[in-house]
Amino acid sequence: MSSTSPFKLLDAYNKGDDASYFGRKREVAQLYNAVFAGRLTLLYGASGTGKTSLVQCGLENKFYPTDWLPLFVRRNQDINQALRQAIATALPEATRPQNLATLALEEQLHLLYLQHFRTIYLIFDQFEELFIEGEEAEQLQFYQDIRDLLQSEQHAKVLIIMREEWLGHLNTFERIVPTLFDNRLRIERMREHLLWRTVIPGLIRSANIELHEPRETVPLIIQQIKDPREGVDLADLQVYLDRLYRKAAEAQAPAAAPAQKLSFDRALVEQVGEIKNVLSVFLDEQMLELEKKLKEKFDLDDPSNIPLDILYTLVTNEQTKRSLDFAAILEQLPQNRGITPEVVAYCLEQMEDMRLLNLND
Amino acid sequence: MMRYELKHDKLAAQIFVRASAAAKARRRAAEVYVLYTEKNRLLTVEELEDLAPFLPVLSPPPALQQLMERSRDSIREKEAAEKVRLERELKEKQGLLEQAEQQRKRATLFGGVGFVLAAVAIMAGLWAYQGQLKAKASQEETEKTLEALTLEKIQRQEIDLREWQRKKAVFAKGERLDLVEMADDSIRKIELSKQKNQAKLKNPN
Repeated sequence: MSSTSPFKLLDAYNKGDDASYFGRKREVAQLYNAVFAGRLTLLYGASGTGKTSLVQCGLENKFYPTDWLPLFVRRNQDINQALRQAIATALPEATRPQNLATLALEEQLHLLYLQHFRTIYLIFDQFEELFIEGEEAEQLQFYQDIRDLLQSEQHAKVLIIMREEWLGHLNTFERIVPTLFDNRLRIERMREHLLWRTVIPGLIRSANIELHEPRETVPLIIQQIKDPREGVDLADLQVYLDRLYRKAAEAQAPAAAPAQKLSFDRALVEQVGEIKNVLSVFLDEQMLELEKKLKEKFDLDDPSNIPLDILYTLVTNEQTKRSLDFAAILEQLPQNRGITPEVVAYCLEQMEDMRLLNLND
Repeated sequence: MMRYELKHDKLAAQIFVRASAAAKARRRAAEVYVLYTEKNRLLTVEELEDLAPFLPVLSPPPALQQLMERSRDSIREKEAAEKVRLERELKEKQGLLEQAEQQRKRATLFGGVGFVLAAVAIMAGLWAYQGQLKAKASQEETEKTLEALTLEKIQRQEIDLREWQRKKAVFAKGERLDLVEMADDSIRKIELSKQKNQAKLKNPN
């Protein structure tokens, strides 16, 4: 099962993954310079280029902890509330004034600064969520808050991370904050020579797996998953490496010798074969497996599509992810298929285990 | 509160592609219902049409079913009211059309009569004018004739005068005073008549 995989699969890299984060040295340096130089930075790129990992792992490890105080903000239900909630959480409980919620954003940030004496970095990841699900009033309040913050003397900087296809929606934001695009950085797809020289060998070795015949094995891996138009997608690469890992574990590490080090070689890659849409195949396999488990555990006559229906509740009409609590997921499911709260809870747990879902506070 | 989220947007795209029509319809229905509850309005024909193909697989909740039913009733009522309004409007327009047609017919009739009358008047005018011209020509002819006759009369009177002058001389030579007197009398009468004729010639009226 993929839960034991040493690969990140669909997870973003974070601070602790520095040892297995490869191929983005130049971009990390560029981003560090950008956020250091300006008070507002815009980081954008296509889906799957590793924007979040660049910040959560690359930038985070570039800074000394004494240099910055990062606050990662996701919109959830309202970006303005989420921002204030992040500030409140970062304030030690004993220092949190009772009227915190009524204070202006600048005052809240000032309080936070006084507790840490570090420059506060407000990092808005998946910023496109503000346009996908946000109301106009929410957007305007946010833009005005950021404008006021940038005009103030507060020790706070702003980093906005978003998918590039949503850049057009920044028009109003730019009118209110004209410097929005002044300090921007585009992250591009990983170049192929970096993949075969650095990234793939690095990922395999950092997973404590031996890599045989790297000059043949690595190009073959690339060849198996490369899209003729888009090149190699990092998420696809992660899923393919996990597939190689599971195949190797199945063949090379029987229960009798669990401590044996696994290895990847050309033969293994050939055995797994070419999978042009690795993620798609991965998803189909996981869904089938879960349907089978549902049938056994809950004695359901027809569990087909139940796991997919559950996952679909976490997808927007714009084909992006969104976060929901358990009650909201349950509410969106059909009532005529016997999908009980127990079935949903079980599926969500399994999906977490399959590393399809995150559970966030 | 704990919230679930997919690990990657690329996964979201894959799930979206695989989602069943029923799941998508269910979401559409929920969005429409939220729209109703937020905006406090009934569903439109388009929204009902959007939902219609999916109803067999939707099993819509009672609240949505009631909303759809109320929306359909409202649409039916509006359509019926619209039909009545249109029929009334049609009738009014037909009435106006008929009225306009009658007016047109009347106008055509009056126009025909008027045309005939006008033609007759024109003809009469022409005829009168022609009559006038004829009368004028006839008068001119008469006047010319009269003038010619008067001239001729004057010429004859001049001849008569010369004859009576000659006779008077003969009578004076024969010392026939009575006849001379008679010749003078004739000459005087002829002279008077000639003067009258000459005056008439100068001023015919």
